[in-house]
Amino acid sequence: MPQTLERPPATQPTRRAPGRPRPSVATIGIPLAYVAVTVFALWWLDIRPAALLAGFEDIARLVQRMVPPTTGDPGSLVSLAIETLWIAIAGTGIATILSVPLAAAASRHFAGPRVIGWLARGTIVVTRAIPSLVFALILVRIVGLGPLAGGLAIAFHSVGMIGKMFADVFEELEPSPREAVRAVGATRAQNFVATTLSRALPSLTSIVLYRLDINIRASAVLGLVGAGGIGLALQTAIGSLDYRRALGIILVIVIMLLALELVAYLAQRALSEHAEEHSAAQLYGEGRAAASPGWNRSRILRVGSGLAALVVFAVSLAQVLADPPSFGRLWANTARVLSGFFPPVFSPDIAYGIFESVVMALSATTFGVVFGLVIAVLSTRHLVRFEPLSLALRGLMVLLRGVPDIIFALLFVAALGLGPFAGFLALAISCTALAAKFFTDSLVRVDPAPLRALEATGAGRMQVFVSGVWPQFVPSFIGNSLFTSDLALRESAVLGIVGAGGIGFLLEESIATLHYDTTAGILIALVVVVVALEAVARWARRKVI
Amino acid sequence: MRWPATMRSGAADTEVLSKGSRMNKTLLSTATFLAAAMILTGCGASPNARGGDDDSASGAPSELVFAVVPTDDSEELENSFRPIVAAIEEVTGIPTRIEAVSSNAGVIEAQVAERVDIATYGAFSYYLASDVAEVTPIAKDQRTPEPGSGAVLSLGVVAPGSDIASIEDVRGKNVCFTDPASTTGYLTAAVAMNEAGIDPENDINPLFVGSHDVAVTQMLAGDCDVAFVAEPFVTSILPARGIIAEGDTETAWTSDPIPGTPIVVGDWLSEELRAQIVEAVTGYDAVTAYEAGFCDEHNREAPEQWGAEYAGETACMWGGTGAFAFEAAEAADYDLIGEICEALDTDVCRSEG
Repeated sequence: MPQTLERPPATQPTRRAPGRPRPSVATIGIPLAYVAVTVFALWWLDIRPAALLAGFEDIARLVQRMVPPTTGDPGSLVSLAIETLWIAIAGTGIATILSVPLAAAASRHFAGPRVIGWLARGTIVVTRAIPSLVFALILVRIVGLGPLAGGLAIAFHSVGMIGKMFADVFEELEPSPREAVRAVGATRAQNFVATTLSRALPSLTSIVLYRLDINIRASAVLGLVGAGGIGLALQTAIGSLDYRRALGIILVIVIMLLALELVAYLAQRALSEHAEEHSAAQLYGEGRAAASPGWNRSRILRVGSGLAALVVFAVSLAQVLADPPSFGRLWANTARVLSGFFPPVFSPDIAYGIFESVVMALSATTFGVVFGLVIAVLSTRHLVRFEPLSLALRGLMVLLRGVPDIIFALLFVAALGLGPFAGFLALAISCTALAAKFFTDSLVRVDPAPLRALEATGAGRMQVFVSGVWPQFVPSFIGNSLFTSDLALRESAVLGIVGAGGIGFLLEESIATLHYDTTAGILIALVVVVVALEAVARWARRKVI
Repeated sequence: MRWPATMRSGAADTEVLSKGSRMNKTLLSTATFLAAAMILTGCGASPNARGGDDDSASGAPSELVFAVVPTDDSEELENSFRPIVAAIEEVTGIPTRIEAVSSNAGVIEAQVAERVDIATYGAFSYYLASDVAEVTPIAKDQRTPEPGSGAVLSLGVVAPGSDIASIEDVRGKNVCFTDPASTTGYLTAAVAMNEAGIDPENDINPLFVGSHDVAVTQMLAGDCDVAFVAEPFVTSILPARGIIAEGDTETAWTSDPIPGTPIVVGDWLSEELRAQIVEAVTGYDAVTAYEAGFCDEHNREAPEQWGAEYAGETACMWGGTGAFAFEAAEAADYDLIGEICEALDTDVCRSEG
């Protein structure tokens, strides 16, 4: 996870003195497993780079039809974009609030009743496995058409990811302050706020900002089911082959993402400046009385930006709730909609589709991780200290993330025809953009002390990277790779667009033809796969942390 | 997990193993995997293997690609087109691959690049495709033995007791449509409003909800006063799923018939091959296709509306809508969509300027 690298935990296993640490099973086994699946996928999906080159002209012709972008009526486009922004912010905010207690209960260090821990973990996995489009579909039926359904769909789906990442952060914190505070008799809640939450805040901030980035793109598809936002305009433009209009809309989304990236960049800089300040004297200025914390510039900045975020969240909530649903019919609707999902139907087709999706997600992750790593290393300061390159790469990644998968899928379909290869390439691109973002964020947060020590001994940049950065980076590298697969599995819905098999088409077809019992079967199968990935990830974390 | 174990014991054997040689080992095993993949590739064809890309020169393609897009009322897409593909393979002698795809844009772009030979999608998608790709409709579905029965209607449905009784009454109301590029879910209704002197963009409050079922359920829930949707949703699909019951809705407006789902063939195929495809698609009906052995596994009893003549017969699921047969079609059958677009001059119609 991007938040991993605060510092190596104190409870390191004792190892044979000065020799090099041996790589754990996880650090070798997991990458090897990915390579193995990828090699299988190369054959299974019939991946032949030569075919792509042969179709280059067709891609060029299609791109020509996409430029220059047009905006249609700019006024309505801007108001739709702003609605999308409110939906994303409200959804992310609700998810964040729900996630803090959930993550605390799901963390390995949770000291309360076991059942609560299991429930929390279950909620996190299930909400993560269900695509936000499915949530939107259900919620439109329950709360009616409009941005509220969109915001809630985003919120429910985000709880899974934010909760999981928060839990990971909480687990990675050094245990000593927590134990110390417990020893003086603090209650569990006091202890959590004073030691865990406060120390995790920088990482939590970057997770929330990152999720907001994902959610802005996600709310761009929600229009599809009447959940508000810019999505419907985009879907209509693509569905009517008006690619120039589609490109105009995409540019608006990219501009929003760029603005957010800037905020994230500034927040990260401000936070990592203070990442090493852990004592009260460093975090707060001198107070009037001996024990009361006072104000200094950094505390004002922290509190101020926190308040600003709260205000933006409140405004977005007000916008989304502007047209409140008739709460009277909420219960009846919920029961009626959910009853359509029972009993879930399973079929060999579903199992086969899930298998294909997993193969594609894992192999696309392999490609994404390799390219993402290269891009991340180039866009941080560890190896190449060339600011324009790093900015350009960050911008390029935002652009890649802003362009919806269906556009990539269309380009590859033009070149390759319908089929898994085109879908796989679209997925590999979105995995690259995801992984690059994850890796860049964790590389930025590598503890600089060992690096400076190495530099002081005269080590070259490559040596510093191999001995100082890489060992710190490995846990988050493995964790993020697994997590990218997890996201790719759900993004593989894009593959249905191009006839690439996988579960995407079945899921969309079952929704479009109102076979919600099949939808339920698919969702349950997805939950099982996500739980399995989660189990591997947890095992890997125990090995490498 | 044999590989990791081997790797680990290898590392343990050599106490002072350098990073470099460990990386070499990883590389080595990766190479082994790659080699294994090459052997695999050599041994068997992938289940997803594509036909050769070099078919244009020799005349007859080595493989035909048949793309199907779910239309609003289709079910079990792949299974229901399998008998048709079997018929095409039988007549043309060329292996045919079905690609079930959820995006019309994907299929149309593949047609532009001449990578999809046969396709079936909604009438409006054909109108869009005819602008950019060299394709011609050869057949359209026919739901009953009656020619022309594949046409669909668009309905304006309201809740019982609504004060909307005709298209003139929608002025100033909240109106649910599916999406702006849907013939049954928007375009025909918008034309009718135009003719009634109502501007479908400004004189009503349009809500585009994305799908026909949501339009109906949200109209009933009160989010809008009237919903314009394809007829099968109101008369058969939603009642069959238990989402609405008989009498839940009233019909305030009915459109003229809109031509049914076309099967479209690429003009780049040779004339002979195209004629063979037409013959395969229109030469059978659902019953004779069963008799020809195209659907030994997936079949059903002939539905009631096919009439007494077919009662008790076994039939194939013939196409996504479970048609009786496909009748010959030509481009002129779909001129109606072009007329709608001219009358409306809406965004979705002006795609390629």
